Amino acid sequence: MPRFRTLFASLLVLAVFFVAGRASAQSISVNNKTSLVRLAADGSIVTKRQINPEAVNYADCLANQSIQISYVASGADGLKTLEVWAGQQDCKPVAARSGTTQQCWRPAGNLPGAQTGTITIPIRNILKKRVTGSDVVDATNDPSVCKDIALSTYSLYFMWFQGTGTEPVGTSDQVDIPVKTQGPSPLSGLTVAPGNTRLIVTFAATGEAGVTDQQGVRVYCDDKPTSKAPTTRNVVTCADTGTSTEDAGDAEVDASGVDAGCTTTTETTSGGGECSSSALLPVTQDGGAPGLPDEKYLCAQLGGNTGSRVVVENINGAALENDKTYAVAVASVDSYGNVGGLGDPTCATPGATTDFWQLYRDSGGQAGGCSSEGAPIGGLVSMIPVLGAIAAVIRRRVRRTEK
Amino acid sequence: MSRVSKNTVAALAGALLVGCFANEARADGLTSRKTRYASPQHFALEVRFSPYTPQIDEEPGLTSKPYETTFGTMPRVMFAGEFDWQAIRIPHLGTLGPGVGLGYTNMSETARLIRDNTPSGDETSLDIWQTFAVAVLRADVLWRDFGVPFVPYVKGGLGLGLWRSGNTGGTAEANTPTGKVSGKGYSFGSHVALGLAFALDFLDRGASVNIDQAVGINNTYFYFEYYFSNLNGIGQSNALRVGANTWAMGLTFEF
Repeated sequence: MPRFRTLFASLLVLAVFFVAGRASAQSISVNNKTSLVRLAADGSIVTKRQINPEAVNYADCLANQSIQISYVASGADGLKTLEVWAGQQDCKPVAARSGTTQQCWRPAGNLPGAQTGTITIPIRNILKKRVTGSDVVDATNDPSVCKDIALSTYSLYFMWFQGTGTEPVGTSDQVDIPVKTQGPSPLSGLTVAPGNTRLIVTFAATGEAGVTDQQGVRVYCDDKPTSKAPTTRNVVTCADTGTSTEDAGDAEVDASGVDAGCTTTTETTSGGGECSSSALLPVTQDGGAPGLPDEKYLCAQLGGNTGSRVVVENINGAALENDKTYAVAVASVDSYGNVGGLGDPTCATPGATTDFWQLYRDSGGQAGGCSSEGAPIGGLVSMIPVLGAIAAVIRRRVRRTEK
Repeated sequence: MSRVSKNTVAALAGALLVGCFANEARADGLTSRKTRYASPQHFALEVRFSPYTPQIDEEPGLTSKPYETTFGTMPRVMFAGEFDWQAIRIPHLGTLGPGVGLGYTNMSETARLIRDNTPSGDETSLDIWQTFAVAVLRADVLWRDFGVPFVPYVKGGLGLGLWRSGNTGGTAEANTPTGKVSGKGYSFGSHVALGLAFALDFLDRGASVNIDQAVGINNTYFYFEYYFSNLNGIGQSNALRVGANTWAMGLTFEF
């Protein structure tokens, strides 16, 4: 009887240890959650953006970047496996990883159960929503997974398992990765006004910071637009009164409305209007997202999300020329670095403009150039201590007189 | 005879007005009390605005009016400030001392395309910084000795206008036969002003005493002045005439 009791107690102690060990022996902890290492396709470390550095954008995905994660694990034995699952919901329940309710997928194979380790997971595998089976997905050759993802969070779940189709054992860990690959909407209200060897591009401001996610605007120019819808006007020239102009199509200047001695001619005016350019056509990138023209057509950029005006003075290093027509199109950039679609191009022709200073000089004015002879700027400033000294002397004399 | 009568009436009316203010002041004794317990007074600070149309088009030799053609005839607003040191108190007259002032105004218009006279995307503009160093005489005897809340004053000295003509590309440059001429420079000249200040302390003398005790402001005035800023280039052969003869109004704080 005593032997039976001793045996029972021993078994009980063993069972307690076994159960306790099963419940807490396995653990995993990711130790670089706040600053995950980003690797390029060739394995080199990528320098992150200043804004939203941890988020994945379209270019990151298109470049086939990977995320390197460091972890500390414990409790490895021959019966258990350390797995990583990806999803946009909790992947710990069995139902999220199997059957008809499956919502998670495996972006990488089993992790080594060593005490410390790193794992590199391709971004495309994280974004590849495959909701059947437990095989590891491989989307590294599929850029289409990158397209059109609105701002969302993809999570990686690091879990220990004993057998397939079971609940995780021990403690798990989770890494959240913000993703936005969808570019901003094309800018509205684009106007291109001609200036003197420059073009002034304006567009509808997209609001204050935080309201609309726009972090910049890119302006593209082409100095060889393929076609342009000209703006015309009728010019009525009269021998006695000189020249007057009217809009094209105005009934007042048709043949029946023109006085004897006047002639009507149609003249092409300068200025903007819609046009087309083979260089500024919307392009589609690998993966289907809208792309941008060659960088050599980039003629101006604007940072921030509140500006609505940018001045273009150069294209591809050359100054704009007066009386030459340029096509201009703009695209916006969001805070994740995604570029929106290129809007329709608008044409404009820079030209000489009236200028107060030029008019003054043309009228015979002689000032200017900071070359005026006479007292220097310091003349006035130097008068101040002189005036002060004079005042001090007078004051002293007045005080003496009062005494 | 009628002229004499009018002058006599005007003089009597003025005397009555002064007497009225003086009697009121003496009656409550506040003016003398304030003077007796007032904090030391050495400086004056003025803030003001004035309509401003520079005399650019009055430059001799101009064949047109470039300023009016470009910016029109509507005056712009000149915002300015002035700091005076009341170095000397002349008994039974007022204060005398040096002062410096700084003001700024700007005018800009949409430039037009020369080829068809349509509005362009460019702007053409002119910035003027007005500075001056003057001697200031404030005759506050009426206010201090008789309680009449008016202080006439006169200022005279030198002025300097710093100016810059710009466009969308920055500082304007004019093409001339001798090359490009940058649209910036300075114009030296004289600055004279005549004005009349009304002592706001007169309206609430108790508050005036409190302000003096709290922050050391002895007097607060609302003033109106007319000034002659003749920045036409004293000692300069070619100066842009950025001065103006115009009125100004604002507030003065003596402390």
